[in-house]
Amino acid sequence: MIKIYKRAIKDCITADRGCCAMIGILIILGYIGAITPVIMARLIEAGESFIKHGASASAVWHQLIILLGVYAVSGMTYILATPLDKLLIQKGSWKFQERLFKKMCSIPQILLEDSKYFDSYKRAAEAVKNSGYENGVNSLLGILRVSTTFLDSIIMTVISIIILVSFSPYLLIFAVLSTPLSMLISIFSEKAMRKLRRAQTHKKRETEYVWGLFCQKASVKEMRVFGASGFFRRKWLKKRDEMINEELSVRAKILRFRNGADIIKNIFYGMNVALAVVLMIRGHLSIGQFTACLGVFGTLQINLVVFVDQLEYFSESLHIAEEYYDFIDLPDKLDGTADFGGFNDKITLSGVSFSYPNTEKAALDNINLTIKKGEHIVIVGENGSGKTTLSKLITACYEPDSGNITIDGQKISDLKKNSYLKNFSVVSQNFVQYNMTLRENIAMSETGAMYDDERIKAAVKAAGVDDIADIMGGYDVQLGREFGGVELSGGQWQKLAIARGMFRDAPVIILDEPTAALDPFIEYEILTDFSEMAKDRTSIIISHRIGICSKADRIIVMKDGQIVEDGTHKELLDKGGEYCRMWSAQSDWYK
Amino acid sequence: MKVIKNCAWVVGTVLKIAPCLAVITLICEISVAMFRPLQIIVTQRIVDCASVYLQNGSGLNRLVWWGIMLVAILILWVTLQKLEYYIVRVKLKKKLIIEFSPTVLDKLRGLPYSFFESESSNDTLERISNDPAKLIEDSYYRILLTFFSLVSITATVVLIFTYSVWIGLGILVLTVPMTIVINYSSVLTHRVWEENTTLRRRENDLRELTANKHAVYEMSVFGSGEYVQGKWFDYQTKLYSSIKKAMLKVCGIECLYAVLDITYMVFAGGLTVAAFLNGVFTIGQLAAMLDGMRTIIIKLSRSSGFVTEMILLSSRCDYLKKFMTLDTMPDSTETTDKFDIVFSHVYFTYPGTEREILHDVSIRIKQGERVAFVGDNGSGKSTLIKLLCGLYPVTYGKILVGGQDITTLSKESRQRFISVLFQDFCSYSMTIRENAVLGCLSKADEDATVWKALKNAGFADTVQEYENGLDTVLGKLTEEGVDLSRGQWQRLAMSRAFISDSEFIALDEPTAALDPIAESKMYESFANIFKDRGTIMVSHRLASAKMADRIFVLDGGRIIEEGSHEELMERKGLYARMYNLQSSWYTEDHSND
Repeated sequence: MIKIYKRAIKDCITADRGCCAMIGILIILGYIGAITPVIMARLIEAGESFIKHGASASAVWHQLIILLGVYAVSGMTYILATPLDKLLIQKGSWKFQERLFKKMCSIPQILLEDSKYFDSYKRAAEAVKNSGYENGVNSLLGILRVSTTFLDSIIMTVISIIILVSFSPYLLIFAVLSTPLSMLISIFSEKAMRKLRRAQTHKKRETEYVWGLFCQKASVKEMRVFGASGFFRRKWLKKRDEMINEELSVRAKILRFRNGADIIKNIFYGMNVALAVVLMIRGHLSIGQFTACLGVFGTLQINLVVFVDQLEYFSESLHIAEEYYDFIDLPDKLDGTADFGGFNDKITLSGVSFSYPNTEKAALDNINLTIKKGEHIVIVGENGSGKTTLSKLITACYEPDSGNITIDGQKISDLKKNSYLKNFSVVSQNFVQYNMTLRENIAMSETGAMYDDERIKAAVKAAGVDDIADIMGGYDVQLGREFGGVELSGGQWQKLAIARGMFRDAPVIILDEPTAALDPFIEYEILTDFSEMAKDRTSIIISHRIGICSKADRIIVMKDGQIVEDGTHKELLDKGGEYCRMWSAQSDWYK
Repeated sequence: MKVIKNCAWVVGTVLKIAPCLAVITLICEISVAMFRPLQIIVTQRIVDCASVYLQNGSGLNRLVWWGIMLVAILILWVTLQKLEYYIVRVKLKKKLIIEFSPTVLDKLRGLPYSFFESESSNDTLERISNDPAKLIEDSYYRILLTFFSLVSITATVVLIFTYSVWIGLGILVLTVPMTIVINYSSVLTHRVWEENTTLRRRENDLRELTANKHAVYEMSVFGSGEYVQGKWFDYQTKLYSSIKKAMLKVCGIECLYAVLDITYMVFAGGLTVAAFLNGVFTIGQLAAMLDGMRTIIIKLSRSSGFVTEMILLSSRCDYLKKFMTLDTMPDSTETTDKFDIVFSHVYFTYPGTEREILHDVSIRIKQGERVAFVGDNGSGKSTLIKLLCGLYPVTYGKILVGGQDITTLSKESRQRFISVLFQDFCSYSMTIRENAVLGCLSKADEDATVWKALKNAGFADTVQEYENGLDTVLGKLTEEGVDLSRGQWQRLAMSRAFISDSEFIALDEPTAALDPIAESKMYESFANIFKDRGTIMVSHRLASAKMADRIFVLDGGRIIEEGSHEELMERKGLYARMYNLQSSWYTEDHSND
């Protein structure tokens, strides 16, 4: 924990050293404000001796000037520190996010398949996200902020106690006594609160879930049709009552408890005041010192409150920071050292097995496959048979558990990822819709050629999306409704994804299940166009629309992570195996 | 102005729901606000009494009495403050959740369905999905705090007036520009925040890409990570520089405030000391004045934070206020025993959009008939189903069910009429039983019926494997919840549609994204269920349409062909073309055209 604390503080400070230094100086200057009570006391004393002993008025003026000086300095520091603080927050979260960004692009992608890591990424991202608006600060910067507040309240408390002692040592008794006692109670009640919150998280999530159903169109639609909204309302009411009764009774108990602590604190406060009155009557305190005491007592109390309030936040922030650093510290993916020239001959998978983290079943089981340059291959199989996994292994996204993948005789794990991947382009099943310009959506696959209009034109034309460019007047229009751009239909986005895949000048192109949700015309169009486009390249199409197979040079049938059949359409039909079964299952409906 | 209106609305809502609690908290707040000036007065008395006592030893009783007063006031002060916190955070919270939240819920239940699909209400719905009662509670508490600060400042100024009218006037004159300046800087900060909304959303959008594993995959193959990062870096730089510029401006404004602050201090401090030296003020009044003028300054500078909060709050409450004034639909009561469907010259355009989805659609579907609608994406198929469910009123024309207009049918009749498997069906994180019986809640305890529906949907075998059978909890919400694959969820959703005794079942693109084997299994289970009731199927896989008695072909919102599969094939129109195209993949001698 201490390590994380040190690291977080260091990272916050290095985010913007100048800003931090300035804020630091301002804070230190601000401590001058702590001596206000002393000067107040002197001012009143000077006034007193002016009345009683006819001392000179200039002493009073003198003290007033000092007092105003102190006010001015402490006021100024507060005023100037606020905007600086905002700048630091912006810069700091920027730096933290940047590191996370880089990390996300460099960790082995297999980790993203592990829901544990994915959740931890999400929490890490949450840790560095400013919680909106102006006082919202992310957990890492929060640690710095709470630390300064802590330091602040400790220093203020110490200064206040010193001032009290300098007036009269007796004042120390209650001041010292009241602090730890009420603090203990507060810490204790904070703990109870946290426990409650943890116990309630679950119930709360359930209640929120049911509530959320009333706000989503898919569930609202069903509620209306099935007349089930009353059922959900009752369900919500029931869960709410369970939650509210438990939560509020514990909360009420804790609040009563905390109020008890505050009352104790106040009784001490009162005793302090009473003691000061007594000391004044006895002549141990001057009148000026007495008024100053009242101010100091107040400061003591406020600092205590601040301290306790932030305690819980502090420990929570530390936990979140830990998650952030855990993620940042994940090892990067391994990269090979050899440069790879270009794909010339064949890709070979020999004895390749692979399973996803936390699963027992192998996703791929002893795969042997050779893909020759220029071949047009279709991979078919039921959902979950390992088709997509195979393509991800070929694109070096995952490392095989056993077996080798070689390209032109070189092991791909020895090759520099970038130089190897230059030979591949993909159109993935879950293609991305970039909320950027049309140009960027296409050239994202080869950002170096972003402004090569000729190539963009060719890719757009080949994928049949030239009409989009024509209608919208150019390649630099914004897409996606989110930023006021043009919204495309699902089919158009899909064609755009294909244009993106084609734009990348790579000898091998992989098309993964691209037509699942399309209507027959578009499906047909895309698949025939694609075959045309990929004529000169090596292409691998993954699909469960078995209809396209008859066009391919070679069909690979996968089942339960294994290649069960491999051959041309005719060969496989004659064989009467798995392929034949799938073929007839689909084609029967068209007879 | 809007800020004040919205705050008034919050206070009004709280007053309506919990008048007693609201009044108590207000009284608490006013009393707490008065304590600071009271403390100043009492301190002044103590100092004066002590001064007299120390000089000539008289008036000890009065001194002790004021001392006790001071201690009592302080204890009472904190106790009241805590009481108020307790009332708002526990009592009021409870009251709001119990009484306000269900009103919001009922509002949601009664709104026309179009609200949930319209682009403009996305934001509202997203916010409503967080607890609105909490928003009211928080807002009310903040309003109380602001109110407190206002009362406290006013009371202190009044107190200073009683000491000296001139100092009071001076302070009043100076606090006005100070208030303006300090609030201007918080308005400015807010404005920068607003101006940067797009920039922040863009930056956020790019950041989300890295949280999307599919995007990470693409970026890694394409090597485009650096490009995206560079773009993100640009947005951050812009964001930072704009905030920096604004903050410099804020610094300038706040320096102006500091100058006013010092002027104020010099003026008030100088006059006070002068008054004291001239014998106008007692020593107690001197102490009280110095204390009081500082209180005002501290409260004033804190009030800027409150103002910022109020602006934010008002914008947050705005949506809720608007939402609560939306009109709900009236209940419809007509009943019917016949369920023939008649579309007569139906035109439909989604509210708030231009494009006509259905154009002059006139069809008749007899009770118990099996029909299919086919056509391109965007030809209006799914809209037809929504209209049949009465989710939208038609723009022009009529949809009659058993002679009654569909929108006037009572809830019960509508349920007897139709049940649906939507394309975007829901996967409820509840038990299997609950998931299934949602389709017909009166059968919640009839195990046999539930099993039958599960069986028809081809899901019974899976359920039998679970230890808890029908009462297995599904979904990720709880730790013991079992998560299903999308195909399994779909079968469960199907059993939901099958369980009701409705005259018609509508299926909206049920086989998209299924693998070939699963697809053909699905068709078999359809064949089962279709035997005994009317079916309305929407699909672009024409093989499934073949099973229907009649097929309607939609193109651009019009019905262009109608008939059985054989009739349509003979007609050689759009349907025949589409069918041949799809089946051509499955003929042995396949050619490119």
